[in-house]
Amino acid sequence: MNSTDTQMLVSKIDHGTVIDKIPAGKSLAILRILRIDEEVRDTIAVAIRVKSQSMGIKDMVKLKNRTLNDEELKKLWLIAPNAKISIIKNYEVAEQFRLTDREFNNEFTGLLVCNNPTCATNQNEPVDREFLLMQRDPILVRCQYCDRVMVEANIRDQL
Amino acid sequence: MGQLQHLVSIKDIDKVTIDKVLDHAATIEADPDQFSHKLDGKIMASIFFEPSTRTRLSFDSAMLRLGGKIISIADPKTSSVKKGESIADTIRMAAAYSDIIIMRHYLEGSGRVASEFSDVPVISGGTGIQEHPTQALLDLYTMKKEFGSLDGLKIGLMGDLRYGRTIPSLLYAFAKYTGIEVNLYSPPQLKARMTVLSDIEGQLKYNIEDNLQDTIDTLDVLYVTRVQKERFPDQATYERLKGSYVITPETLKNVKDNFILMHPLPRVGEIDYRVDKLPQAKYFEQAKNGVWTRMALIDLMIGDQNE
Repeated sequence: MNSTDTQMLVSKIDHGTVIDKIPAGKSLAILRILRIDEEVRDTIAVAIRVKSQSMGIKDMVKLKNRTLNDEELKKLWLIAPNAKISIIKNYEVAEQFRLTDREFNNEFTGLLVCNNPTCATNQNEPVDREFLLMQRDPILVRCQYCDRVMVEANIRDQL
Repeated sequence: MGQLQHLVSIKDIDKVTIDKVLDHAATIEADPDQFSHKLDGKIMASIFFEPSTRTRLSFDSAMLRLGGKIISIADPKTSSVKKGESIADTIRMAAAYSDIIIMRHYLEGSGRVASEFSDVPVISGGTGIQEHPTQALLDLYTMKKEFGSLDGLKIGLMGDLRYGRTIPSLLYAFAKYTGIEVNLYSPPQLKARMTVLSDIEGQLKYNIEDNLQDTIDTLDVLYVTRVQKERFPDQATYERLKGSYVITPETLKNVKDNFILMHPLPRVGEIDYRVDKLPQAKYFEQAKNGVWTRMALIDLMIGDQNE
């Protein structure tokens, strides 16, 4: 299937957001992160494992009438940093960027919880969790309290 | 002591500060009486959420030898901690009653939490499996006493390198010195944590070794830690492996002339009692060094340094 085939498979949207260049297989995690479930009212198109010139194979998600807020973009950045976001208005690309180009801060308070059950931050202490970004892709973050390192699978489950 | 407000991780202190503690410990050991009223009127709060023998006794002894007094939660099960009080609240209370706090807690990260909520210095007496900074300091003191310098030593660490909380503290400390090389000997299940090894990568030369007998003749120090039964999936694996991590007089046949054997204690069979009488056995002296090192640390943190 070439890119024209992909376009035929997934039709254009008039308003909304396209998330392209998602690593193959991760689109379902992205739908979950964006809380897209059976209650959704707008059209969502998901292409899984389609051919890509740059990636070989990729996923793509089109969200009609939906724009993503900063927190959602940051969550996507954690699991698919190279994804390309296009904001569509009147069938035209109004804005386009790669998540890696966005200057997200390395602040994960409120977003992540340490997965070490014996970390003091999981025991009702009045502290703000703090993490250090050790590696971008694949992601590694380290709890600044207990030193536990979390990999993408640990992080994805929390988003 | 300027930059040393709390001590919850060896990562928090630099080599200059470590050397200052070790030098001060040597001064105290040479003439302890000179310091016997140094901390008159000062109070140390001793809060141990986990059992401890040596750490607790040596901190108590250190404070008493400096002329200070001690208040403690003897058994957390009988205090409000049992009622679910947070570390933060317990520490705020203890800070109001004392000049310095020693805390051991089973949770990782507890040391940092305590230091954030205390107006007085906090010293970790062991933080979960994360670190045991004062044990590392007294171990360094013992090595320095024996060899004159830590630089260039070849040190073997053996036993439970994964859950032993002193191991990260020691590795972080060794990384601050020049030319130290470390051999790591452990069962596969108990290898040093990747996080800790990645922290010292490029700063400390280490080799993951399988065979102690083939390499023991290259070591200046062998530091043995306890291999605990509960760390193994089954009794059979434990029984099979534990024999490979026991030191006997025969193990030490080919060691260097000035080789020393260390252990933070308590031991549960890792070192044969027959080894105790050998000149290489330094673990009881090591335990004694805990008092000088902890005296030095407490004095540098809360004593008047201009006297």
